[in-house]
Amino acid sequence: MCRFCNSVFTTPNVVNFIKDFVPPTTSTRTIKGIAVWAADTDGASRMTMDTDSTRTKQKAVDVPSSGCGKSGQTTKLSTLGQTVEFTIKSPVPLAVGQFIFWEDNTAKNFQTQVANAANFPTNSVSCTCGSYTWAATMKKVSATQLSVVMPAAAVGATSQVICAAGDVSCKVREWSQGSTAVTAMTATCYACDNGGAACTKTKSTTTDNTANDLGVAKNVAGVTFTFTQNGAAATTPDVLKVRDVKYQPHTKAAIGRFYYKPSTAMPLYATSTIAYTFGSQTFGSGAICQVMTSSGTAPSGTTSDLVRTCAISGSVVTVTMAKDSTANFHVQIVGMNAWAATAGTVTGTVSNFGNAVQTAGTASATNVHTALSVVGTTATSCNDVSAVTTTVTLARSLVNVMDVGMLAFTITPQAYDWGVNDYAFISFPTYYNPNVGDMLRCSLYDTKTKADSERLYCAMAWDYTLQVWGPATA
Amino acid sequence: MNKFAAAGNFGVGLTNSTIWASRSWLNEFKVVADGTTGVWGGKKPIDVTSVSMGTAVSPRSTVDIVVDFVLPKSSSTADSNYVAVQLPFQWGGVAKWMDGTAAPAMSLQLGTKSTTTPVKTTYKTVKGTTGMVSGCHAVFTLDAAATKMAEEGIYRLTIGGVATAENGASAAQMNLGSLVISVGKTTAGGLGYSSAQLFNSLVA
Repeated sequence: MCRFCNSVFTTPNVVNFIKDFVPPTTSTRTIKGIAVWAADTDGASRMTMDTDSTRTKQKAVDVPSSGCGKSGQTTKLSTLGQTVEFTIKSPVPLAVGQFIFWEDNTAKNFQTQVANAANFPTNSVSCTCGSYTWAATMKKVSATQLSVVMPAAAVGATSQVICAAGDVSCKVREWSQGSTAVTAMTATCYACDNGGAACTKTKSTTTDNTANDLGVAKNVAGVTFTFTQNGAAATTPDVLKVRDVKYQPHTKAAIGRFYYKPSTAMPLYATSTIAYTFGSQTFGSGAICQVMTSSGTAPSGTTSDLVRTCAISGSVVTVTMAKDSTANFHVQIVGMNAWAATAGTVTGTVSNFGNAVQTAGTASATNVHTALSVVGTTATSCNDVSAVTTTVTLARSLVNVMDVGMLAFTITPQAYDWGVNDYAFISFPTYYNPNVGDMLRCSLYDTKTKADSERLYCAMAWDYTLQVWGPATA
Repeated sequence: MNKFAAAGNFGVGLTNSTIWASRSWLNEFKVVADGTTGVWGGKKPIDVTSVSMGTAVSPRSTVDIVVDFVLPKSSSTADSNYVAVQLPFQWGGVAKWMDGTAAPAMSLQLGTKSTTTPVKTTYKTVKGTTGMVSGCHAVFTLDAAATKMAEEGIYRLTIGGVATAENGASAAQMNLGSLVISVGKTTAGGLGYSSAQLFNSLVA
């Protein structure tokens, strides 16, 4: 007899209820940890160990009305890197390893370029329930079925529950679509336990405690959403552009800095990369890439936190985003090869989650395909002063690392006298400090009297480059 | 300057404000090569025995800094002919050194310890002048005829008329600063360096 419930075991199966017991949510929908000991009146004992699972599974619950979504989305044909969202309102908590499915009822097929039975790109799907967000693994199970598996529990978690009952939203941030046009689909959703990787609508509603009984949130035929995948691609496709491309000093063969600002309407995420190729202009192995906040059409002196890395290789500069953000920064390269003034154009690629999603358009009136400047007389061209026979000699008392000292440049101008309205720009090798030195002093040295004749105002124009204002008395 | 293996180039360009503002063009440009050295010349840190200022210091005033130090044995600092000092950035008033509205007065003394008890150190002036001065740095250069500095020598460097901080925010941090002193040969570069903390010496 049951020692607690006073029932008599007259049949092989006896149902005993434990009052007010709320079973925990588990991945398998079965529970362990309850030991039952019973004895017949003739003394024969029977015992179920606490390591055994319950013989019946927790019952699935219907997905509520309007529980599948989200309706009203339209994706564009022949467009990469689109963002779409799929949702489910789960009537019960979802546990580790359980699956959520969105299924096309109308044979329109999900027109993503992800192959059947393949996962979407790693980290490209972000799911949220309540305040919890995770990088989800979404699989295109078949042409008509998408699934997301619930993640592992946090270290130290005492429950297998990942999401409490309620809304789950999964954003697919790299939905790339081809040119196949289909009419709007009607789709539905459901959730299955951790054995339900191959779950179906039917299996989500099966309640026979067999291997086909997989439902957690049961599919309901009338609970659907619409999803349209025939939006026309823009007649003027959004392409990768570039702004503020500039070399300073804008003089062929001069040592200076190069900067630009990426321009793209493509959403950028924490791992997105933007790679530009600047014609045949190379930057050199000693080039230093800096990412600065923008100050109008030029970089400011403040480092931006939007970019994690900036790599230079040949003519290619690749920045990797540090966070989800628009490209609101300038990239500045110092310590680079001199400006070659070779004809060329800027091309580039945006990659999200490892896949190219946007490239620079071909040259046209509508697609900015910036041409690199060459020697000329227009305002946008650079000049060439290589024929000017300026002489410069250098004497320095700086000898060793950490020395305090002086650099004396003896300059013999050839083109113009250097006067009150003039500047000198002196670029330093990059083994000097970026600001050259704290509170450095610039003086004009009179070679006749062999003494400083005038204190000159000077300041860093940008890292490694000192700007000296001309003398007032010249 | 940092350590480097291969000398680089300076680029010197001249332009005028009009053409620069409109086109960023230079009127002339010339590359000039840097020197070929750039090594770490220090062998041992200088032993700074004290830094003192003697009194509370007010912003927008001046103070004399006295640094006592010893050149360690086997530090390759023998025959050094300059002592350089770098002041902390909080001492923003030293920008006056940069624009010429103020200048430090530097002096160096060589100490000798008595052989009697109690031991006393007496100091004798080493001839020299204040050489290069920028906003944060000053260099005292020994006269050519003066006896060069020696290892195990006891020295006292006095930097007079050091401008203090220009504002309250920096003034509140003046006592947190450190100064760097270095010695070396004008022909061979720095040979010994040391960082000396100010916060034990200054009532801000």
